[in-house]
Amino acid sequence: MIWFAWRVQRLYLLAATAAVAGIAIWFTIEGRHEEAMWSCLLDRIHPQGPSLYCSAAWTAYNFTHWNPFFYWVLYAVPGLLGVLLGAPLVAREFDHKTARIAWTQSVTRARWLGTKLLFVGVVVAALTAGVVALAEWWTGAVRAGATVLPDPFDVTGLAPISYGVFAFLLGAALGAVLRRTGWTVFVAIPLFGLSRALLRFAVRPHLASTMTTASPTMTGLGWKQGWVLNTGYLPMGQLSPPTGKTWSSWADVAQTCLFRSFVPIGPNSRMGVPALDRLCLTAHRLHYVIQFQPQSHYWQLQVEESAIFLVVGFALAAIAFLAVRKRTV
Amino acid sequence: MAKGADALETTGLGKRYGRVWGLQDCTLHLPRGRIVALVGPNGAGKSTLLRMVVGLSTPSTGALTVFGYSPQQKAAEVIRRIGYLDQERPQYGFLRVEEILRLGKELNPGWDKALAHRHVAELEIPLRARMATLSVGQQAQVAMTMCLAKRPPMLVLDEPVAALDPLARHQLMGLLLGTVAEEGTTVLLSSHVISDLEAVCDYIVILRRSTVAVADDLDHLVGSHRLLVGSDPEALSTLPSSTHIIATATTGRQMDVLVRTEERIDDPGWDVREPTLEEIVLAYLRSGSQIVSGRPIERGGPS
Repeated sequence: MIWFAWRVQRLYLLAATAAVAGIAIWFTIEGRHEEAMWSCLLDRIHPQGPSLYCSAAWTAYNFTHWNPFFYWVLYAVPGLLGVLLGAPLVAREFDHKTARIAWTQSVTRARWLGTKLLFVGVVVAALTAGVVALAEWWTGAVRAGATVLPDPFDVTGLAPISYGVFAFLLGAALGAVLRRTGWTVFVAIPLFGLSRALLRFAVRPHLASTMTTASPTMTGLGWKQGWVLNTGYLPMGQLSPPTGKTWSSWADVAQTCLFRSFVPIGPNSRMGVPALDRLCLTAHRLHYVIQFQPQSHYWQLQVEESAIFLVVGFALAAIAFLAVRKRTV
Repeated sequence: MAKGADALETTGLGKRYGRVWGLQDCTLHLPRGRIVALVGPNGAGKSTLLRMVVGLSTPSTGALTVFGYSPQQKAAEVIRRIGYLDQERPQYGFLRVEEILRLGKELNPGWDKALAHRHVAELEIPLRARMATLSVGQQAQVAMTMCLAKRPPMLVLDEPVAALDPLARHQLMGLLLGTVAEEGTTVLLSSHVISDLEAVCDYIVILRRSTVAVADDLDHLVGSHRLLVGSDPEALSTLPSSTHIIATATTGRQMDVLVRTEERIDDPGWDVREPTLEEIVLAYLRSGSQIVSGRPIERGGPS
């Protein structure tokens, strides 16, 4: 039965593997090229000892000049891989009516579907894990910073593997219900995108308890510290907006303070005096609060988000089993 | 296998597609070891019945069992006992012949590898050829080999010889009979080529307008019908009372009457002869009468 699952999907599996290998080669060449370029550049500027500067600059380069295109590729791979391998899994056998052959041999439909899902599902997970390894290497320098930030979070750790498996089960279940490969892909890709967006923007911030810092005036959160969810001026003693208020309820007051802290030093120039800003804010009894997910929550968030995708994925697999069991072909 | 159960039993079986009935009120008891022909015009419900037997379709009304097992409740028990050939011959066109045979081996515990390879070799079908590149006849042969090498106690073959030339048809039937003869395999095959069936089958089910018109032993069916040729319509009224008129056809002054009777007909007004299977089948398809397992059922009288 495993041979059968492999043989029927062989073309797709080989194409997917080739695509991942292609991306790996491209990323490797590109990554090494940039690495070489930077060390070369730094050698010229700091002939006396480039290595320390080189790593610092390489880190800075990755953080500030990260090519968003690579992120989009890394985002797309688990979803496309999963949907494109999942959609034809069942739908193609309806399209070509070959389910009539498969379902009239001696194995039950449940075993037929179970073997296909398990075998191809493992391949999807393995290929996605390969892409994750690539992303881990690519973001290697950034890892010194906070991978709990949404962009690196989505392409490292366990989460991308769960996205891949979820996309695969989504494709397979939709295929079993819709019975047309083309339509399945057409519906599954936007659904996958929506699910990802929903988790990333609406669910993930609440998966672990957040942390807050407060300071007298506006400050940044070090980029190694975590993922900033909300910032704003709140009454002293408050670390989140009181009922009926939002993070921007005192923004006007804070803006006025900031404006007044710029004192005229000539006919056309002003100079900011932070102490004035601070005095003004204190007078209004306001402080600046940052709410964030700390880097230390990275694995907790990874595990929880992966669990959500896998549980929904398994529910979709159950739908596929039901659809196949009842199906007339 | 449930002990003593018929190969196929259906009770009031029906299948509805929207408002249209594909098969209606079908009650059949097909004993084991028979070669059963299922005949009827296109749309009479042959494929509908066969697809329900193998569990690819579910009944709208009634019930059926295969060797005592319901295809819905005990799908695993049913499918491993049936070799099924679909009317539309779906296939994994990208697979090579040897891969299709491997598929059969992987998915069927009782697979007879030697038989499969012998058949393919005898038919001179190249093992390395892809299914899609074979001729229609060769594809049918490979599909039939898949059914036979599974070594099932029952074969369900939907139009096995349709779209085949006479030679391929002969070869395919030879393949079938050669394999099932010594095994006691039950065969349920549908066809609208009646002439092919007479030599092959020993039981016949005639479907007409989605209902069963005839289900009877082939020899008994032929032996219990007479074709009367005469010219005097009045002579119809003098036939013995146990005679059932199935169909009449007039050509000019000549009148052909197919009757079902257990008695001899000695009326000098009629020229009496034994009808061919084809004549019987056509008469039933034209008429409204119905007989199931030797019991005549009058339905609207002769037409």
